[in-house]
Amino acid sequence: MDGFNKLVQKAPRFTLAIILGLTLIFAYFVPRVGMTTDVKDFFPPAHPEVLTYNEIEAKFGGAEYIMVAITAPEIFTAESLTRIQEVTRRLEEIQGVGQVRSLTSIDNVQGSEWGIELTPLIGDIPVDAKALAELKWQVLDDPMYSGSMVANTSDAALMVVEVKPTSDPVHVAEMVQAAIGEFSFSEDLYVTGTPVLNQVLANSMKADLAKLFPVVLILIALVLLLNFRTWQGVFLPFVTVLISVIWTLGLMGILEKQLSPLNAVMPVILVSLGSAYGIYILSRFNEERATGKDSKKAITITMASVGSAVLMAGTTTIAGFASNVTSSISLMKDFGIFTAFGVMVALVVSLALIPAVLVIQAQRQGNLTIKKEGRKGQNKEAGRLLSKALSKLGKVVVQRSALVLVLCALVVVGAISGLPKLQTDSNFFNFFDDGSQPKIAYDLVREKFAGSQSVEVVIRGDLQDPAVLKAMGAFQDDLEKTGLVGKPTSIVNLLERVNSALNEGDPAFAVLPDSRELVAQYLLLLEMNDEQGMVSRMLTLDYQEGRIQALVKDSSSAATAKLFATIERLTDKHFDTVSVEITPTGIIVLMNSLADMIIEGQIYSLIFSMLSVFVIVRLLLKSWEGSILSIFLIVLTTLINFGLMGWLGISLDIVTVLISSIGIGVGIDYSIHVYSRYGEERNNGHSVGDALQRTVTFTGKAIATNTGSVVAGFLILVFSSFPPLRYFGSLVTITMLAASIGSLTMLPALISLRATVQERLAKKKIVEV
Amino acid sequence: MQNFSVWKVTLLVLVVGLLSFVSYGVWAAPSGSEVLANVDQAMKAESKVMSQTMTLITASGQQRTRELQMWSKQNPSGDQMLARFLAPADVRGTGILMNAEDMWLYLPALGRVRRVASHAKKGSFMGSDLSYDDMEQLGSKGFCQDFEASLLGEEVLEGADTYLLQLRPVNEDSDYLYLKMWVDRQVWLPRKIEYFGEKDTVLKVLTTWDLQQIEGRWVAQQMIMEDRQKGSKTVLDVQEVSFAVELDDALFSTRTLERGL
Repeated sequence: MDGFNKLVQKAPRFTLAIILGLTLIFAYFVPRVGMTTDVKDFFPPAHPEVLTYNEIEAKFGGAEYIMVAITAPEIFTAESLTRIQEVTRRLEEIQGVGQVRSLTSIDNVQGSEWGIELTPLIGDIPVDAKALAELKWQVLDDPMYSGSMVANTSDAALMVVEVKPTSDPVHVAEMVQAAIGEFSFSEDLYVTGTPVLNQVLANSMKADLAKLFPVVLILIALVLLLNFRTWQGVFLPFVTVLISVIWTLGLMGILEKQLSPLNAVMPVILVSLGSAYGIYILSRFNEERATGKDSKKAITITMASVGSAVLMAGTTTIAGFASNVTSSISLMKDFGIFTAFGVMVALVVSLALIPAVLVIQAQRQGNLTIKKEGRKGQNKEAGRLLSKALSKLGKVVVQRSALVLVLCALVVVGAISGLPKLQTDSNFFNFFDDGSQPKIAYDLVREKFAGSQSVEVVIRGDLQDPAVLKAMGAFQDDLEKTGLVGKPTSIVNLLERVNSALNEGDPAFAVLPDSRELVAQYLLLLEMNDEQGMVSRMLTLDYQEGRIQALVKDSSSAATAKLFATIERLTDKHFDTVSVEITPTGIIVLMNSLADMIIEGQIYSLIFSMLSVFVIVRLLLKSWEGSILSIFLIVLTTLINFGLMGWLGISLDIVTVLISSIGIGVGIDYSIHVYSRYGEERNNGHSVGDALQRTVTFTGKAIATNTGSVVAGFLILVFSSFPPLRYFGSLVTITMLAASIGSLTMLPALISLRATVQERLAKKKIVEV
Repeated sequence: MQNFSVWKVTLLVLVVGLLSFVSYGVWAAPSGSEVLANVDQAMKAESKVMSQTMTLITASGQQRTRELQMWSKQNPSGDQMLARFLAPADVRGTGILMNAEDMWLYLPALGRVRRVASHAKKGSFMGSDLSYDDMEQLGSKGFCQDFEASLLGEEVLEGADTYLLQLRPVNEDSDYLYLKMWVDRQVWLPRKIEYFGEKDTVLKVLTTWDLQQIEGRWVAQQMIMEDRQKGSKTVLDVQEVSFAVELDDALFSTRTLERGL
């Protein structure tokens, strides 16, 4: 540290040149950073769930769908049906779209007295009222279409756009959105589905950041201006954080990493946290200069004293973020690594750039007298008020430590009791507000149809065996009865239809055939007429694998977990006697395991960061009492955060999950400051009570300023258009407040109480002796 | 003045002579339509009995093989075809009867004949990568009806001397924008056909292999159709083929379909 400081102060221009050079290099790579919202990117590439999902996509064609709903007072009119046909045809032209299933494109299997028809459900769109009414009756009466292709109320119809496995779903979604916009009746068209959501999410997230990031910068600048009222006071911390953002994004570009909903908040975090180091250094420098020291001396003293404190605070913050490397979520790992890197850059640059500039300035200007004395006076006036309040707080904390602790305990217990209510959620749909376009479309599809996301149950075994097919049929029926999904479909439904159709359309024959030969021959018949992949989407060529598809009504993590428990139970019930292997998959399965990974990752990263922070604090504070107390406080803060989320009904999702690591990394600083100051005061010969009182009064001021600047940055996120970002902003704020207030109340109260108890015990001993 | 006329005549003779000399070289090669007519001639058959295996291979490598026997006959009223599956065992005996308009199906496990109304003839041939149109063009119908050919040049393909043709569809509703066909100069069979769609993308590629002379006619014992869009392919292997058969019209009836030959 000493060597580093000396080098910087000896060769300030060299230091600046190096920083500038590196910044230019990193800046070159910044534009390479893309944005991803693909849920698969959250997983490590070899994750079994992702492998299963990819395999299914390769075998059966796409498993990602874009849903286009169309509303009309009545679907069964020539006009509405023509619209459906137009849209279907337009969507089919889009590159990357596999197949579009809609009323006007699907094939129907139907029996008659003379044979079987495998023809489009709607060949030529009827124009006369009678034919339309007949068609309506036929379609609404058919469980294959009613509620899936057309709403039971016949005021909405669905077009299911299959994304080719080789295409980028987000890109296809973009083209679908554009194509939909071309229609004169586009206000009656609603587009949803995971790819669309991801696309909207990526675009809006970018727009959101472009909007909020400058505001954060301005706000931080304002805080700095208020605090220092000099150009360098604003400029230096500002440049530091900008450099750290550039280096971090540049490094991501070099390593070809992408921003995600998760680490999109990273620039905001870096700016809010990174500016703190500069603030500490500059305020100490000003303080030293105020005592009449010349610039050079002031720099040396500042760097020697506050430099190590800044280093300590930075190290714990870095450790807090770095703890995310233990996460099994790839993007979470990236977030941890890059944010830790960014904080490190801010730290190093603060320790190098700021003193270097100050030295150059000193060399140029010589020893200037301190400017703007009057202003300083004002500052002192404001500061005095804060000091007074803090001094009073210190008194209360020391004298009424038991009461303070009881109050703290009440707050903690109250918040923590919300813990059991805490839920995880990895449903991207919840990233949107109720009135937003994607949410409206999502809700419409949920209301009128089964849903917009599917669960895919893969069956491995002999799928020409009537016993296996019967088990599938029974499984599907039971699954539908739970009400968790729309009508499940598989090859079973097609075989039943063919059976009925070949028996004059007799509904009594809408059952599975008993003989294996009949199954094989029906499949042959279907395959000969399988232009739309009715069979190949359900069954592999070798008949060894098939899938049951069902649209999921509620894709929240809780509902998905329930669905999977049901699937498991029904699997045991129906497939016990046949030799098959059952695997559920689909985007919602990925979402669901993402939820599991979030919790698991969270626990590991919490333990990891607590341990590493504890080690750092122990090494730096050189006190067991201090480190245990600090960790204790931060544990409580973390629990309060989670408890509050439980109470407020905020789910732990891919964005809010980041709060605890920030809370630990940053919140610990306050305890460190408090405890180290306390140690200093004790060394200076103050009693426990006096030392605590002085600590709360003096360090309290620094903590208040620091908390203010950090909170200012995060609070801006409240203006985001994404609920998770809003929650994130307010929760970080609450956590920071809890940590800073706790460090000024509970921590000194505990020390004071302990001292009182020890004192009494000692007195007792003396009395006994 | 006379001198000038002599000059004129001489010049005319020279020009005509030169032109005929040059055009002789051009007309030495057959025109695109002549080549295509030869192809049709080489492949068409009044009647044909053939057994072949059809292997479908998906992009992800799954396979399915079926063996079937086919009887086909050209008729003024439209072509007729009867097919019966020989393998695998669980579909053995399944029969299909097709004429210009209709399709009947016999499923032995169901024990009766049903008529099938479908748009299957617009689509793929029995679930393979070949469409019914592809199949007919390679079989009894030929290419001349559907395409206008122009000769692009001569190429050596897989060691064989070929004419390279470009085929443009005559009808608007063709699945393809154009075809490129490499025709073997010795036997007049296509060695390779590329089927093009919008933006000059290759949709499908057909290659023929193992050309043999059977009953005096050249036949490709193997045809492979690759679907470049789906990544799948279909391999057709001729097991037995005969052209020297007299097929009675009564053969192509639902009676035969149900009872067998």
